[in-house]
Amino acid sequence: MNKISNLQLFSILLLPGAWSILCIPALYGGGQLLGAAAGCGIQLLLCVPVFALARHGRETDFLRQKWLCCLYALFFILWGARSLTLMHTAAPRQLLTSPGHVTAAVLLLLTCLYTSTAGLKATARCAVLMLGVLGVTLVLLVVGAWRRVELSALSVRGGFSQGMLTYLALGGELPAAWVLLQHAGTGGCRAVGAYLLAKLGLCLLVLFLCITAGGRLTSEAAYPLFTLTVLSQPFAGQRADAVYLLAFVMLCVMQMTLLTGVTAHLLERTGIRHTAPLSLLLMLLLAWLLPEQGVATLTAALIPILAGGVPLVILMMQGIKRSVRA
Amino acid sequence: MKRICLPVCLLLFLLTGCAGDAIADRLYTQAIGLSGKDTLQFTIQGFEEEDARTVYADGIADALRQEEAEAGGRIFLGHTELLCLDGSRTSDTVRMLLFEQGLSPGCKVLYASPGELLRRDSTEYVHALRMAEKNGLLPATELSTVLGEWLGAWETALLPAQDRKLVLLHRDGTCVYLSEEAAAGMCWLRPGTGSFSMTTGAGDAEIRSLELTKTMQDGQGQYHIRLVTQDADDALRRTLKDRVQAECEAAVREMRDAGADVIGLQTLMEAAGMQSGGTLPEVAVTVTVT
Repeated sequence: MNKISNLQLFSILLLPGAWSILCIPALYGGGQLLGAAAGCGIQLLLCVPVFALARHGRETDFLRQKWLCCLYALFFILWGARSLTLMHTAAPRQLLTSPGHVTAAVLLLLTCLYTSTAGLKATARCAVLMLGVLGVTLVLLVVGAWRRVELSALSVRGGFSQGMLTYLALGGELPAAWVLLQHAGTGGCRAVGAYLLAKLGLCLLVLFLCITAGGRLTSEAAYPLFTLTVLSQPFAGQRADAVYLLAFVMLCVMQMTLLTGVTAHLLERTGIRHTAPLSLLLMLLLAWLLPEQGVATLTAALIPILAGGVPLVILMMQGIKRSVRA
Repeated sequence: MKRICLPVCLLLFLLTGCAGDAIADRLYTQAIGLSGKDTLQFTIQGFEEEDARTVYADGIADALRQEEAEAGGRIFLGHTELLCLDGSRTSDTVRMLLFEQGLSPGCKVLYASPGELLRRDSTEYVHALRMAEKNGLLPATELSTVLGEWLGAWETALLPAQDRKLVLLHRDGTCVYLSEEAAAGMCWLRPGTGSFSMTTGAGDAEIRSLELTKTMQDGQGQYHIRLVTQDADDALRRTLKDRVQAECEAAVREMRDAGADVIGLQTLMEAAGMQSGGTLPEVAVTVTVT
């Protein structure tokens, strides 16, 4: 795989993260904003060993260990299965619940298959363009929702712990950041840090709008952001549903492409061929066979282990080896 | 290469969906009406239509299917400007229309019998409602606000009725009309946007801006209204203050008597960590005119 620029690394991590934020399952209260900020702080701490490995240029070591490659690939397959299930349950009504939804789902999967076979470099290039689409969508969302904002609805009571745990469970891109950092130039760590902060900013914006502009309609809804998009119509003569739908589909494709691409990249190290379609097929199978809640819990538990635990162990082992040699 | 490109382009065009739908095949509704307790009476009126069509159905999906068969095209509710309710159908049906059928969240809700009201072009009602809100004669009410109030602890929403009256409609269909003074008070407690003039006993007052601050202190709602007038002398300001104060107090009194919250008390209570539901808290209104 060729090198990817820092902006590409930032985009390729932020877009799947933004998709997870779109699919925030519920609102728990104003304290959720503080919880998300705390969750971001923990994620930054989890990234410290990865940053240390990247700084010393030893991060490639872990890819030589086939079992580690398989472990990370398995996580990405599980995360992909979780994302596919989420796509099915959280999709706006126009996409997968209306007549013709089977066609939409099949087309979406075919698109994911096509983009994943193009490789991570091509995906990274597209990600920068998609960042613009995400920006325009957010501007429309804010413009449409702003006049509904009622600041008195915002209180810091309740929702801190749920907000923190939800935010941590949405960090499936963190293990991918480690894999991608190997292909980034100098300053890759800064791009990962910027991604973490931008994702937090996006999460805070979404939560703020859902709580203050959506009122009771969003607080009682599953996937509150999709309820907010129904309410946030910035133009009098034109509905904005199609833009929100486009953003949802593009971010979803980017999420699946990143996961399939990274899984394929890791499985190639073990000598397996046709890894991209195989990864997508495995994700589909697991999404169909495994219980939704079980996969969500398992992946949420694996994120801190793979994002922070494993790199920390490698860092410590390398430190011990160095001291023994000395 | 050309042999591959042509079928691919054709396939892409067919997948856009543009080939299968035309604007003429769609009916854009301007107003819809809901009535009927057991059997739903669903009335729709398209833009620039003088009359409305009513169908009788078991539910929304059934009603829309019948309406489409009568209208001869797909019905699009996304630009609807007026929703007319007589109280027999409230939150459940409206919620379904908003989230399942894409009804416009900003459409105005009017308490009236749809069968009678929608016999004429509804454009004038829509414009009248908008202008009344802008001129401070009606409080801001739109579909998402009304639905939010029905989903609140006291399950009652504030709706405009015909002849600029205001009604408190409970989600079970029972309603209470507000007096003229209380209705005027609601306009101060739920302000819209824009500046307007009004006549008081001491002359005409030009209201440049209206600012409302709401807090909850010691279990009591504190509502402070600040009016900025233009070229008003002391006597006019005093008269205006007394009038607004009296109107707001009448609005709060009648609202509490009806067991309703349409001024955002529940949000204040939740922010203050109070349990919502049950008896409504006391509300104190203060007015400043500058």
